[in-house]
Amino acid sequence: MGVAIPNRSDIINRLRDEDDEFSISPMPLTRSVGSGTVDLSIGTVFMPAERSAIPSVRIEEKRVVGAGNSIDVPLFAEVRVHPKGTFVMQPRQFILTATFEYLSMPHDLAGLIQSRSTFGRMGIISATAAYVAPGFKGCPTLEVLNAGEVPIELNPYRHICQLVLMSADEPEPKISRYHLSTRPWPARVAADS
Amino acid sequence: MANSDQQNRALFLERLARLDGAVQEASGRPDRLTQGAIEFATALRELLGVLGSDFTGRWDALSGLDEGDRDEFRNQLLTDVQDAVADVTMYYLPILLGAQASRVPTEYELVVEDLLSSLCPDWHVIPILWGSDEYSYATRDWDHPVDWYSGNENDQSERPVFREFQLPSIERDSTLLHGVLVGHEIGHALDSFYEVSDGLNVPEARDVFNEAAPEHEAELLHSAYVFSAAAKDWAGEIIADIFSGLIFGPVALFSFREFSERTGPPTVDSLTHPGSDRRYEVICQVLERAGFGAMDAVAEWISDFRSMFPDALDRPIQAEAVDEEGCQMAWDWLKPSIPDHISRCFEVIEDNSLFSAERWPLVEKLSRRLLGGHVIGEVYVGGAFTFVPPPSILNAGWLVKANSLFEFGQLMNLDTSKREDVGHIALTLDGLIAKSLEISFHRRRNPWE
Repeated sequence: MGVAIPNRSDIINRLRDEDDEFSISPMPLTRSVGSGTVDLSIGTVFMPAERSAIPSVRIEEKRVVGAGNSIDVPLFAEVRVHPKGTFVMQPRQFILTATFEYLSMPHDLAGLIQSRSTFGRMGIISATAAYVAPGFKGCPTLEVLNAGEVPIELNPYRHICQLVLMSADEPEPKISRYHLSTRPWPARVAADS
Repeated sequence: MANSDQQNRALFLERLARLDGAVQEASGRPDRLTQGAIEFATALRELLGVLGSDFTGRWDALSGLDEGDRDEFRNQLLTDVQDAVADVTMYYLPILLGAQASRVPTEYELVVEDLLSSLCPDWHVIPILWGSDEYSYATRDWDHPVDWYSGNENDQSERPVFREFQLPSIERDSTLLHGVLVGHEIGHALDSFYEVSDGLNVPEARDVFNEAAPEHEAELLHSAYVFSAAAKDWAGEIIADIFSGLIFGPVALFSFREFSERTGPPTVDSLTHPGSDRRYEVICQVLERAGFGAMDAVAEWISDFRSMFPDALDRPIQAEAVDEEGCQMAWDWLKPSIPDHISRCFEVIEDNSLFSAERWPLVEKLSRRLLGGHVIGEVYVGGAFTFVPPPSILNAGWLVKANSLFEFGQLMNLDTSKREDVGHIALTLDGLIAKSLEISFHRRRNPWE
């Protein structure tokens, strides 16, 4: 079976059907739904990467080198912005955030999250195309980079990215550790002790 | 070398500059403050400006007096302004420093703001949520700082008043526990606005004790003092509980119980609060008056509470380190009037703000959605998505927490019987509730097409 992209009216009809496992909350406005896509916005929690005295991270071993005996090493700070507030992203700054929308993916749909072109042209990039698996429920974590030359103000609830939907067939989805999460989660690494 | 007069002036101005610096520093990142705190910081800076110009103006005006009078009046002036500065340091600054978005659940600020504006129309009040290191919830009105300093009566001022809501910052993410905040503490705010407990005629202590034999007068003096203090405070607490039950329904009972049992045994009365068991019983009576006695699940909870605390209203006072006789008289005075207080609070709350049993079917439906791993900030009704009121969201969350936490944990392949899992399960449920409150607020402000 090839990958199929659902059409706009199918997406809208499924989102409006309360008995359908596929839902996005808050329900997107019709104009936010495209052919196979739904615009998504950012929430109020931002996690800027901390530039600290930690020498390095060994990704393969999932551990931080030279961090002493601490068990959890914070590589990211957490900033909660008021819904009417602003988070300023400095040039070359990397942050984690999460979508404001809470997604509930059915067994027959998967998704990829990609930057919206307006933001991309200003240098704000969703650094990886986050994969949203069938059966996932939660607010996906976004890795966002300001690749531009000027600071950019980010406001909660602003559409910054879009979910690109595709057909799937996964009767028994695997439950990820981020299932039902409503905030961004950094990768888990431990200190070497 | 400067004389002592100049030194005093310089020391005070230095203090003022330090305070101004502290306020500026706290408010230097408005994006990370709560909305109430942004307005509070502006008000504090206005106060510090007024204090500075008032002080220097009055100080200089005294320079024409002869030395003796001048020193005396300047000393008096210093005392006046130093008192104001001390209050800013001790009371206002901790609120501002605690009102960071990283220390409080900002989702609740929106809920509190909406509730106060709908329940207390025409009250120009700005709520400030702040997280303290102390493990307690509290609330208090503050006049606008400039009005407070200048002695303006609030009703003569165009400036807003502030209402602080203090909560324990270590519980920032405990969304369901904060039902205590939105219930009981908003109950205090309503009591203050509608002057329910202020309108009570608390007998003067001397009238209560005037039948005492003169030879026992001295030993009864302390009891008389305790009676006066406890009667007034307890009435305020009971009325806040009644409002909490009226506006939030069963969640008032559950969140309060979870909080109170973290802080002490429920059958002990203190000078400021009657025992929690008495307050559970009062909330149960409110729920019954609101029709919940006919709802099987809630009726069962009420029955459970009553079997756990069968003599909640009738048991003798058990007070720690407090005069028991004075407390007993306060309770004897308050207890018979509780049904009247419930009636009075019912009269104050508009029907559309009352959380009555008619709303329970929606709560049960929402709890099933939660158990399916969904958020519940909006529902599809009559062809459109509309917001779910926060009390319904909180009740649905408590329904899951009280009855189905194990089932909820299974959604994540986690087990409530394992210590390492149960915290994560509860935190995840709290996260869904916080997200639902945020979505509810968003949908209310941004109606669906």
